[in-house]
Amino acid sequence: MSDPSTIPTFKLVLVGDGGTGKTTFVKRHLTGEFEKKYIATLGVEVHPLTFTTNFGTICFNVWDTAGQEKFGGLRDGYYIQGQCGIIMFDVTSRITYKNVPNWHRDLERVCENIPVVLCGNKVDVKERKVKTSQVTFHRKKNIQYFEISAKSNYNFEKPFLWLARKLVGNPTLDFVAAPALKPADEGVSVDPVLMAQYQKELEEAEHVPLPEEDDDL
Amino acid sequence: MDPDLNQLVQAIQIASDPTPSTLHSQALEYLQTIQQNSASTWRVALTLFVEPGPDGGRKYPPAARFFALRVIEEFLDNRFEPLDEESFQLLRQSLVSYIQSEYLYGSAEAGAAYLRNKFSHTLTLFFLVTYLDQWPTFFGDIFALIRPPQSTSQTTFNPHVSLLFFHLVHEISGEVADQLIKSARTYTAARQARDTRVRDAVRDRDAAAINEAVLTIVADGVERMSRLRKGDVASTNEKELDMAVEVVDWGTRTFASYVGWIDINLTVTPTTVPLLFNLLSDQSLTIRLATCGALTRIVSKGLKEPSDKLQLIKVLSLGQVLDTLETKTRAEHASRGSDVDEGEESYREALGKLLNVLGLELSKLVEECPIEDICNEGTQLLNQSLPVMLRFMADEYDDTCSTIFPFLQAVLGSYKKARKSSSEPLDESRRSFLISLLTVILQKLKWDEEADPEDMDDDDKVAFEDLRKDLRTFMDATFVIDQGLVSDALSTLALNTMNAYQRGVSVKWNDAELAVYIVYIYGEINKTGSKGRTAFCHTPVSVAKEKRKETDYSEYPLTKHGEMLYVLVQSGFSAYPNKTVAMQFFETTARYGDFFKVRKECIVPTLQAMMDARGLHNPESSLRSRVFYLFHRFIKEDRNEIPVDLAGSLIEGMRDLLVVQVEVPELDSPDQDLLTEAVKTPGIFDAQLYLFETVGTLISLFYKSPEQRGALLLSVVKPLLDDLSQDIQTVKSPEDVIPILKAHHVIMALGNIAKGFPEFPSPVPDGYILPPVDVFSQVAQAIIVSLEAMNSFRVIRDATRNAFTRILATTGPTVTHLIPPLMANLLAHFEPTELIDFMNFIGQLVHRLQEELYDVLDQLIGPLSAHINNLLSQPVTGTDDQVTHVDTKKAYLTLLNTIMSSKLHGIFTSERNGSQLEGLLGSMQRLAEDTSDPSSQKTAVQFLSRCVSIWAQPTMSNGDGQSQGLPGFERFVYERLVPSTFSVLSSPQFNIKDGQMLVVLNEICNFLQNISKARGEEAFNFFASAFLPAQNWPPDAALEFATKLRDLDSKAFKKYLADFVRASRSGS
Repeated sequence: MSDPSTIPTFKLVLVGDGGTGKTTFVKRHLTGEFEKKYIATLGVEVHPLTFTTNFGTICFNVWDTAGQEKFGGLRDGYYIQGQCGIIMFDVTSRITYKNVPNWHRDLERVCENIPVVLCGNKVDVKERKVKTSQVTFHRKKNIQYFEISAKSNYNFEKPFLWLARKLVGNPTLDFVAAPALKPADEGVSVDPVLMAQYQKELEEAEHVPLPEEDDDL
Repeated sequence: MDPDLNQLVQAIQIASDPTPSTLHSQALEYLQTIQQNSASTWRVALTLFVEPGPDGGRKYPPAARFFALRVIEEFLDNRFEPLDEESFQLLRQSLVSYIQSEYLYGSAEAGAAYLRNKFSHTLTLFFLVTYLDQWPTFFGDIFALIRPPQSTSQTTFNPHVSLLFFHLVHEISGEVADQLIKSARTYTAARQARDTRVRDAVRDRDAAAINEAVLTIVADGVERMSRLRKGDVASTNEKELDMAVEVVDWGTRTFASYVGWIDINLTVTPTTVPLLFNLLSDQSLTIRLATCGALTRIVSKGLKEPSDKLQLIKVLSLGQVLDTLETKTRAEHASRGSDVDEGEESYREALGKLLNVLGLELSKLVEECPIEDICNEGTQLLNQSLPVMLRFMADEYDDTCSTIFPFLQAVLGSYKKARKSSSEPLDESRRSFLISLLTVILQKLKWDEEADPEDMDDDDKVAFEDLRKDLRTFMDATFVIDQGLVSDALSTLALNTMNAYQRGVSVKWNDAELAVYIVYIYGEINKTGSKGRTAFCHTPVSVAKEKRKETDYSEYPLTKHGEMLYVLVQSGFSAYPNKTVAMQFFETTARYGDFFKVRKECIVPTLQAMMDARGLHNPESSLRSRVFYLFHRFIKEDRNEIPVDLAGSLIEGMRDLLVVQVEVPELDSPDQDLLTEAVKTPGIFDAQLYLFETVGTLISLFYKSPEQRGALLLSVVKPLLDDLSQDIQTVKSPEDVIPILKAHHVIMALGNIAKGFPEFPSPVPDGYILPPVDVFSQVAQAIIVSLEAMNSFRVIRDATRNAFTRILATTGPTVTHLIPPLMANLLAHFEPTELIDFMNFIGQLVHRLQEELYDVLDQLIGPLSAHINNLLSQPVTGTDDQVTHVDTKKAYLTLLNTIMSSKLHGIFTSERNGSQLEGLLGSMQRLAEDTSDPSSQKTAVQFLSRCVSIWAQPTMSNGDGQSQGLPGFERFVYERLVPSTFSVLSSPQFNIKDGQMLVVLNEICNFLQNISKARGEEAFNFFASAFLPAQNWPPDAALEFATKLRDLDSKAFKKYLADFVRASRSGS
């Protein structure tokens, strides 16, 4: 084990509407457990998440912020000194996607030019409301997008890997040991056919022209 | 409320520290109150933010001051009436003097960008409230701060104030003109109107000055950069250079932020264009990217007149610029060799995007503009950019390649349109463009020679496969424009490669793969309308369906695709020493089963390859399992072409593979259930199931000699049954995982063997040769015995349900006598999570066995319904709950409808269940009224509709004694159900424009017409004289409705009612 004080550590700000699964996502890594109950986060909780890479261990200090307005505490005050960010929405709830630009703008204002990943969570749910092809925000803002399922571990490490590569500035960085994840929750497995379809839609969506900005005609 | 300042600071400090403390939640609550009471607390917040400290800085810590801005923002945001004069003056003076002291003369918050950015937003909100009336000189006052103070000899602009100014304008654009942010906001008319007024006022009063200020500062920054870069200033000025770069970068972004909403004549001028082009190839990557963004905004700006748009594009002359920069960046890329520079690649990508937007704008102009001169000029510009587009497309980076896809799509779309309206041959310039395009496509379709698709990162593989799909859509489009061009290009490439290989010429693996891949996709691209066999050979006249089997197709000449497949089978590519090539061979042959019906001599060589170590016996299990599936598909498609002797040797050749493989996954956590996990990830067994199905199909081919068929089936199932009985002996407890799993797999395998046989027909035609029922009965019996022994294991229950569904589908009702013991054992141990699967299973049984299932169902339905109703009345507490809830409801409704359509409705009125009927109907009525779940709503109405057509029949029928009418049911229909459906139609939630609602409406129509059919004149009178008049319908309207209900056919009545509902909506 490397000496904890020498491990490169990055502050990661995790934002998004309440109930989109931010805390579940983080806890999944820490304890391997899937939180079925919903308990709103108060203010912020910070969790160190370490990953072993081919360049050594790195650590993300994940600032899991409250998504609910009334429990917000300092809200964007917690973003200060953030080095990277994850914006989470819930693909089964349209409103959480609609709010993404607000989270992004607040984040961008406090943390200029940091790498940001957009995550669409709960893709294991078949009745999704935000289809892959409807997710266009990341293309407009040149940020990365991943579809994830905290419940089935689908793409769990992808956002972290992408951020790690950006932060270290090395695209050949890889996670060498899989993080200690609990295997997919009982009864939930991500349907590979469904995932392939989402992937396809995503790819197709990449090439659909974005809606025009409506100018002063 | 006047909070204590120090207490507030303290609370913020406690809240800032994420380590939990007792005071933490108290502090959060306190801050929440401060925030909620911003109407009074903003004053304290203002003091907290601006209060100077003794050393010239600020008194309070940054985190506290940051929070103070939040409070002020809360106070200002979404406020549409002016501030009172005192508050306004206080805020204005405090903020202006803060800017002065901090940014003009001070340390600019010691470089803390987050404070500056947050403050610029706060100031923006203040601006939005005051600019129209209270502070019209807002910009003038800000400009006064930017200009170099007269008293100093300083000649350049203060970079701190400049940056603050840029962020301010950027935020203002965001608030009043950014579509993305606007759509993320809850719409209010007041806000919309205010934003419009602010935009108009800015355009009117200050736009020119803002733009001039931005451009002047940028120009000044550019000059500073160039001086600093030349090094004629001391080299210690790296920091100063960074600052200059930041100023230019942000100035450009700010410029981009307002290009869309202020006059284009201000932003595109003889000075701005050269300035932007200069910056487009600046040393600094961020500046170049920002400039690409600004130019993209300019090009895509909406302009009323097409001539203005054309003029704009001409003035920009982006075509030439992008041509030059494409060439330059390509050369730079080449000179970097194997060194990767992501930044530079992202620049090239941004240039591609810019070209894409330019191309799309030109396409739109040419497409939509009615003036010929403009069209011609636009077309000329568009054609000039096509070669540049192809060069971007040929980029080895797929992200760059795909930037121009929308442009390409538009070009091909317009070519397609032109072809449709003209019969002239394609003109030469278009033809030559398409030829170049196909060359690029074929080049991009090829795998990288160094790649190993069987052992690479999944994402990279998926990304490449998706790129191929995109490229294919372009080939599709090109095919519509000129079939011959595409089919020649594809077939020439594929045939040349395959023939060369057959002649012994060495072929690189990726060329080989591309050739086979082309044969694979050719059928998708070459949509000439020929299906089935005629896609592969030219038949003189279309052969009648019933004649197809005996027709000899071998004499008919092959189509191009047929020829490609023929050469493929002969080429020896199935033995190419590369896994990807061999697998592509199997994918291709399995896909085009019809080809083998016209060239039967190709069947044996293909099956040989599939059977040996290249295919089913491949040493690598991942490849082997894929071939299991492809083999299955091939046999299923071509089973009628397979003579029994070949079938016999295929069965022998795969016997060694018919032993179930049990794989036990490793668990990562002790609380996991090994059995569940093992069934969920069964490994190769999943693919083995295809083999079991295929062996069933092959055995079924022996139908002409039933004895041999029975013997063969027995020879295949016997070892499995032996395994099963051995497992029963071994399993003593849940710890005996391997034998339990084995039993599960065997039961599944037995079910799939049955699946390979033809489905039992209904009705049974004369002379139908029954499947080997005796052997299947034996199998079913054995499964029941093993279920009895192991019914406490969910996986065994699941497998049994699965296998029985399949066996029943093959044997028909011959094994029905096993259903009661099957049910008894399935329900002996039952987990709530099985409910949905169980209902689906019962539905299958009902559908297959109809009245044979009456007794079982009669006993089952009462407890089942009670259980479901109880479940559905539980509150929903999360996403999972919600999903289960909806799924359960859906499965239950489907089951109820299956029961009705299988004429088993007697179970609802039986002695055992009759008393529950009203409750059932009541709950269906509630679901039928629930507009929040239209899919269940529709199914519930459907159920009620079926009830009506059976139970609302007159009890005295026409003497055949068959009427099953329920006395008094019509009263329930008239008094409860009809009012209920009308209340749905008139409910404000019932949005007729929503497709799902329209489906509900159609179902309601069926329901109403069923009433009319069942009750005749009585129903007519009910609607015309009683019900509708009571709903305040005018008599003629009521009569019309009743008449249409009675006389119109189903389709016409649906249209009538839909129009009626629409009309009543627009009227209200």
